Amino acid sequence: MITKLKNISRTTWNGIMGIALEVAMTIILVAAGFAVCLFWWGILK
Amino acid sequence: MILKPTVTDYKIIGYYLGKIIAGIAIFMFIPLFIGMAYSELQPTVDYLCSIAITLLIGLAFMTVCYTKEDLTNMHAMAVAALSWIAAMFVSAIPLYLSGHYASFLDSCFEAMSGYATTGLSLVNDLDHMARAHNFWRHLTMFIGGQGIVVIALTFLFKGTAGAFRMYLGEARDEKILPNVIATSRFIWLVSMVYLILGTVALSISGIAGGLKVDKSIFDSVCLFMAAWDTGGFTPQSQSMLFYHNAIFELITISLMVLGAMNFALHYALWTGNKGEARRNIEVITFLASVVVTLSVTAWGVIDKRAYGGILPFFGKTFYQLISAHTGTGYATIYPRQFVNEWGQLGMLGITMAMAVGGSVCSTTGAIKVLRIGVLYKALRQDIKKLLIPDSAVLVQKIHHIKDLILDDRHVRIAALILLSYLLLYLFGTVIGMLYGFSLSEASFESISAAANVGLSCGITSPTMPAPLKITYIIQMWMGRLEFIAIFALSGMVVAAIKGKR
Repeated sequence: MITKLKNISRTTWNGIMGIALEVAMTIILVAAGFAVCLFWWGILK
Repeated sequence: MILKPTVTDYKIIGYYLGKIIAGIAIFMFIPLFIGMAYSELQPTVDYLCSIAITLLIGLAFMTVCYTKEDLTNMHAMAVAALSWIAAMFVSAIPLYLSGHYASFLDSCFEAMSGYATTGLSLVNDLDHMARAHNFWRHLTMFIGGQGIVVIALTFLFKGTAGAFRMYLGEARDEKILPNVIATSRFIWLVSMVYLILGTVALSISGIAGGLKVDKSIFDSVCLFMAAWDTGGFTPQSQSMLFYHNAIFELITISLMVLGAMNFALHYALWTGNKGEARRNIEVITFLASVVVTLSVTAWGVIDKRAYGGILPFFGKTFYQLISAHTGTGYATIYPRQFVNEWGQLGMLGITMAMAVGGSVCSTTGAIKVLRIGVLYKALRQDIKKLLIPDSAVLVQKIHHIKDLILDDRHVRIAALILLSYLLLYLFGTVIGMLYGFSLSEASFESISAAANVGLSCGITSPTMPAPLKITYIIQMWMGRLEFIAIFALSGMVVAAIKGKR
């Protein structure tokens, strides 16, 4: 029973961390996109 | 020697097709309940009629073709290909009854655009469409994005050997878990978790942005389904422009990117394999492709002096680019602005992003970043081979969930799919040009349809010629299924005509 509960809590924790990592990845993508736009804006404008 | 399909072959295909059609009738109960909840009398009647007709067709197929035989490869591919056509026809019935479409062809176009998660639309007066019908448009996207066969595997079929074959036929080439039904259920788990998170986030920002509570929740559910499944329908005719909400745009960017991610990558990250995020070939290729296509687009947009400041320039350019690259089709500019304000180079950058697309085993269409990554690695390997002694052995590895040695089989499949997509893009471009559109406009719209994106430069409208509508329907269907199931179906048709008994 305890092992089962431990497994469930570990799976849930991994899932939450996975979602947090995925959201962080999208934020990094937006930041990278802004850097690219800023670079070209600085050069061409 | 090609063997002619037997009556049993047709019966097996008909039986499973009937099951899928009946499944679609069950989904129609959702807009029916929405119509009843919002006291929309006419839509309620529309859905009652549509459910009756669809159930009748499905049950007729299941009764006439009743069989206990399992699917072989040929049957599974034929069912996968035909189920999308059957789904288009039956799902177009309530749309046509809504009165918002000029013809049944237009409602078929809308249904295929929904199922293929494209987002091109031929609807008239969308802003006054009943909620039941509007919800159905978005639900077709959710069903198509998850995969009609994935849904059937999750809810309708038991674990047959043929189930995995059908799963492959729907361009899902990765078995995340050992059992294909468990894989389908994992796909649903991820989608349901993000459905809750995405809808709550969008609803709160919508209410904070001034929308009424019920409008905000309804729109959020619709927007989530279209963003997560990289579809692109919106409940309003002005796409994301209607909301004028930066937080909405940020949330939908996240949802579009997450929807374009491989479900196998979701599984790896959700089970504690964090290193996968920086090693996976799809993540690296996607990032590289975004940088390249964004640079091309940014150059074109700056050159045309479309925006006066860095923030509006970034906001508009990046949003359109991510929407194109993930195959979603949400827009924060009007279609003709691509042509009139962004110019040829800006359109080229967006067209390139649409042509590449997102990850395999995700909800996106197009060539997909994994294949681009494989072909890039193969090219690098060939160049390296020229520079090292003949006797040296060169092994090229790629990392996709696990380390894989790149062999000729991987490269051949990637090249074949790439070639097929290029031909499909070309097909629509030529037809568009025959109707008098310029190369940049015709290729933009053609790639948008074939790559299941949904961004438009203004060609797609209810007044467009019927042959062009049919061309885009074929492109959406072929692009979504990634050819294999359609090639198999074509082979079966040839066998039926020319085969020997």
